[in-house]
Amino acid sequence: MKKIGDNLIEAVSAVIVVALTVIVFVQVFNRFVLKTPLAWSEDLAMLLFQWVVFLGAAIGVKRMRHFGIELVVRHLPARLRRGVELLSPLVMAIVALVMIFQGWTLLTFNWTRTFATMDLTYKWAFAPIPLAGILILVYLVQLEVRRWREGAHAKEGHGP
Amino acid sequence: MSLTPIAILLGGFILLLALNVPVAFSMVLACIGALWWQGTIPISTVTMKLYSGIDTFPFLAIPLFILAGGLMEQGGISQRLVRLASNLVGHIRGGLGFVVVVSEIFFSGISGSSIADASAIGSLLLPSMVRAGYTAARATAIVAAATGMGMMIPPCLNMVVLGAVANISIAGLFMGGFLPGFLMALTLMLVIYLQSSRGTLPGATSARPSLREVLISMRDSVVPLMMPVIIFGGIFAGIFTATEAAAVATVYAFIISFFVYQEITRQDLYKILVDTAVMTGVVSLLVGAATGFSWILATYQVPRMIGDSIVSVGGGQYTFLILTIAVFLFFGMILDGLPAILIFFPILMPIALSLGVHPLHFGVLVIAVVGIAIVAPPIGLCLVILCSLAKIKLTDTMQPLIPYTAILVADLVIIAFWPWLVLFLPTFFKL
Repeated sequence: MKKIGDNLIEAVSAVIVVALTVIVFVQVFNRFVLKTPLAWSEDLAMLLFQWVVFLGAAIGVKRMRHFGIELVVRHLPARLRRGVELLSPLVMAIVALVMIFQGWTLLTFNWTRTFATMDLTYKWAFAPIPLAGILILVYLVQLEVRRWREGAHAKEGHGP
Repeated sequence: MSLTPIAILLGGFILLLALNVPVAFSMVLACIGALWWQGTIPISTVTMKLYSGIDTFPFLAIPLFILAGGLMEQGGISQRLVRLASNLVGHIRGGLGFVVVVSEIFFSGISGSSIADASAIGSLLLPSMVRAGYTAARATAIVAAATGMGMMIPPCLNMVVLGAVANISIAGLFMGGFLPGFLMALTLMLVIYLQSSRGTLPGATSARPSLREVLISMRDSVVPLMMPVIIFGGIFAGIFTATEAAAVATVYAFIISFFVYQEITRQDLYKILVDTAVMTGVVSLLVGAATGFSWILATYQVPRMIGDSIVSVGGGQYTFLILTIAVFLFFGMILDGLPAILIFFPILMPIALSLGVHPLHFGVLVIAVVGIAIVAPPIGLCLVILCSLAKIKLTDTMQPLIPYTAILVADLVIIAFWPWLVLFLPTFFKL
């Protein structure tokens, strides 16, 4: 069940990347070949772009792909390092909470404001922010549980 | 106006960064802390900047270029270009070293992650270099230096992001990058040539290919070479924007690699798409976070204070450009290129303008510096990756890297003090 949930987010992000490419391509085609420029393509592409960004950033947390500097931590004594390792998920969790609550506020502010070029409201553009916050929290918990299990396992494996 | 919020912003950011909290999250939390202390600006500004910082059309080029790059590298297009390079220059003295440099021109820093680029190229070229008689350390040094140079050759993601963030023409940056990029490539090849004549490097590594072989590889390269033609031809002829060029190139790369070469499977394609989303998220979250960060700095007029102190030191443009090189070399080395650009470019750009430096000249110079920074010893990120690929110690590459790093830094000084090199093509094409 959890597995399906994870793959679902990745699949959705893959589909949105495809949609985005197609929309921008059609925009060029319509303007350059058919000479009938589209009004809505740029707005829709930007909306989808926000989805890719926030879903991608959340998956980036799960895959630990965000840029960071290990240089200093690597030279800390082992016991201190273990403490420091908890700081990073803690900070990400705080930022995720901020994204959830303030993203939700932005969402409600823009609940009825519609795009000039499309029959869509801005709530769809802001929705990925709180959603990403929730996903980041879920992924952080998963990562910590896995690390804790591996830690416990390693202790059993290596004697007293 | 009390400067405590700025102390919280910078101090908090540096502390979190040093403790291995990812750059984007360190920035957001430091911003929140600063605004919370300050009290009048709503904290939701930070969240809003995550959204508005990337909400212009040029940023859409980020996923599209990353996707095009992924399709090229995994779908057989890049490999054919490397084969062409090897047939064209492989038999000259300096052989494989030249192939590495020329291949880097074709690969260039398009994937958004310099780490991904370095590992793609390293795993492709390092084994054949070692087989041809290069020591692992020297092969790594050459690939590292060429990777740094390749970060400069358009279309590179650093240029896309820098152009979008600073509101500089991306097409202009692409155009401006060509001559400095070729200067770096030529000087690197000169060093490699001299080294192989003195016997430091193996000489010619392959027999001169027959005319037939050259013609075949040229025929094989016609289709891949259409990629740069589409991207640059379309942008420079004014047919489409950089974002649109990236979309057209993506569709082209997809058709070629999926239907013509049939070198990527559906599973590969899915993986490339998800990777594109992740990389886009990582880069764009950083852009959004940096937008809030530099917005707070600007609110407290920090860029102007730094500018004033530079002006009071004197020396004008040249002192400033040398300082710029030093700042981006250092922070590019420890942070990776994109974060360094996103943090420092918005601070330094207004100062550059007030000193009369052309924005394109300044932008291209910065791109060149961070390209070199990521492979610079002792802690350049890509150098670390390449060493682990080649299974050698970082310290072993130090000595072989000296001539290449030296010549690249000399190139930087030329680029800094000779704006014509950057500005000639953009002016010529009226970009």
